[in-house]
Amino acid sequence: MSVHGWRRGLLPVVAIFAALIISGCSSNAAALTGSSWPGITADDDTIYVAFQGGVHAIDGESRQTLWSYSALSERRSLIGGRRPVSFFAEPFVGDDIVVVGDYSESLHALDAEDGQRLWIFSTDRARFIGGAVAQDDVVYAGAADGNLYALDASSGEELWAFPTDGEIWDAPLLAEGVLYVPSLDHKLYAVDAQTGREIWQFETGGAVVGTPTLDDGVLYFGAFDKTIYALDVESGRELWKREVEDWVWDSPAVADGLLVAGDLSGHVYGLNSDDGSIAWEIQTEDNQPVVGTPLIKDGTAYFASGDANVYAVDVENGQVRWSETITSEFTGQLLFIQTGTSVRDVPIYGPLVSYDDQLLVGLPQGDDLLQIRNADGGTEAWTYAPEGGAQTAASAGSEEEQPEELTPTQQLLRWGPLVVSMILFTILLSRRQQQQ
Amino acid sequence: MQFLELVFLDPMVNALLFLYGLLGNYVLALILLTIIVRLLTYPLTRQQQRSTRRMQELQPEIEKIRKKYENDREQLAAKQMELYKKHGVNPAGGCLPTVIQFPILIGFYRAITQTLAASPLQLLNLSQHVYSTLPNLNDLVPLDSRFLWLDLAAPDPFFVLPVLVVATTFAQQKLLTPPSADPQQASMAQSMQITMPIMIGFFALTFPSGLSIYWVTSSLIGIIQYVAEGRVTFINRLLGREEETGEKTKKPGKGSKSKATGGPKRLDRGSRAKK
Repeated sequence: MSVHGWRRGLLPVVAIFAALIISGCSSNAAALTGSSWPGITADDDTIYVAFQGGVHAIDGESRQTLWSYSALSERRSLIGGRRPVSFFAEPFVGDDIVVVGDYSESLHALDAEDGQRLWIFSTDRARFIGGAVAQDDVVYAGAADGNLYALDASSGEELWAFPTDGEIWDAPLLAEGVLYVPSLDHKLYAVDAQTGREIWQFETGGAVVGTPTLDDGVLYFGAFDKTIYALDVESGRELWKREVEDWVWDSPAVADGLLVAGDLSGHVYGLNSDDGSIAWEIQTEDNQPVVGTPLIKDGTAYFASGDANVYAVDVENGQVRWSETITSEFTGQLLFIQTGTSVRDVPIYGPLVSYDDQLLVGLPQGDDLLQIRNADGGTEAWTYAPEGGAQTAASAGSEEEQPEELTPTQQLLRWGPLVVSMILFTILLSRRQQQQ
Repeated sequence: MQFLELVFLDPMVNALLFLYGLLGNYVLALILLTIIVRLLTYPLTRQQQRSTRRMQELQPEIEKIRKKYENDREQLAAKQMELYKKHGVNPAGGCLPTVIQFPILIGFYRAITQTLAASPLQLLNLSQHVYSTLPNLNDLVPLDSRFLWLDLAAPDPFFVLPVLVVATTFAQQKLLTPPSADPQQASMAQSMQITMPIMIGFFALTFPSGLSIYWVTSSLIGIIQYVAEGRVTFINRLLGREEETGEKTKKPGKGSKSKATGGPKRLDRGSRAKK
């Protein structure tokens, strides 16, 4: 009976402990419990990447880091300190300015040459998940508080804010003085870029996440109601809509009368742009999502999938020209000791970005931050990791550390001492009672 | 892990989403899901509570045995087991319901953190677990995680929930810990009664407040269940009905067995005379 009694007492303690550990583990824990994937933009000779603790500018020729930018939050935590902020939004690159929002509450404007901060615009608690756009000295950016902010590009002063009822997770599309804003409140809005007044809005049955695509007076975009829409850009009137198999995250790519779009079950569709009829359909492995808008170059559509592959597909008929698996080294860490490296497949979620005749692939995990592949054949051209492996000096965390979730190791460190002391306390207490 | 997700975690995520779609309020959906899960585990918890109640009522008998066999541990243990068997009490029966609680806790934790997806990666993760056959889930996502002063995906900033968690856990523990004649055991149980609620309270400080709501609801249901069962037992006796014993294999019925269960209970009711 007494043995059973001990077991009885320890059982809940051990079970809670185990529960904590298990809750931190899952088949894809590292992939899907963090915040987001790298935001990449490229101009003629420089590549800009935002990920975790830093924004990096990379010279495309020499492949060297030109500068890295990191920052502390403008908000103070409970204890009074300021934590480093994370960046995931794709940087907007203007003439001499780079604008990138952080995952905390601010929009940063940096000098494109050296990465020095020019100004910072802070909101109450609105994260910037999508990128910004700018024109005529005004910067426009949507935030997770549902507002589309218009700021003076030289000072960062707020000019106006257009409210929506849901978070904004991608950059607005700016065309001929009108901003087209996607919102998780199920709507796409058309907003006058000068005044911030609404011109029209279009409601769907699900969250509208990605920036719409504009081609020849027609707006194309997808939503979480498993539908791809085509609207007249002037009036917002629906021209056609096509139901697909699963949620659509980002908008379709357009070229020569054909749309190419992916859904979150890994289906990729070729649609006729005049009526949305499906010309062809393929599927990636394992129902893994195709998240970002495909990139179309010279009749080939390039996209990446959560199945860790990059695909090149013929736009006309959907035939796969090539596919390559993205892998990276992972340097393992237990407590503070490096436990060796392993090589694993890396799921890719963002859109591929074109640079020269190459494709830029952002890795949300692993020691590499970017892999650059040749568009012709998909072979690896080079890889990029900032100093210290996808971290910057200001960021104290490792690749795996996320603001919201803790890795099993961190949970062990956090709760271990408490649980152990509880067990010891209990044992001591009962020992003492026994002696009395 | 994949299997676990398929059979247990995914259904919970989808059930929560479905109820949210039905009721329009996340906290209500959580409470309803807690009730459903408690209903499903009712057979087990009922067993445990009956066992506990029986053991509590057998206390005087156990005291007597302890006094009699004070110096002979083996005989003491043997006689205790005999007594338990006679009254259909399974002392180990208390383990299973407690153990079941923790996978359920994990299930709720995962369901809450997944459904309240706040970041792109979390939303992507949720999309992989949602059943496409359930209608109308499209327009629910992303969910509104606010309730009164709470952000259900984050810990309670005001300690209200952690205090509730400690209070209800303590109350439930107190009710459901069977007494033991063995002083070592008794003190062990006592210290657990204090440390467990406090420890869980600590966790409530860092876990999503939605999880605390589940825990408080579940503890309250457990307490109500125990008290209600007590009433039922009382009513049964009032009406002279025979009672089931704790073991499933033993049939309720007239005869020596029911008399045996009747004995100690009558002791409780004021008559100290031994039958």
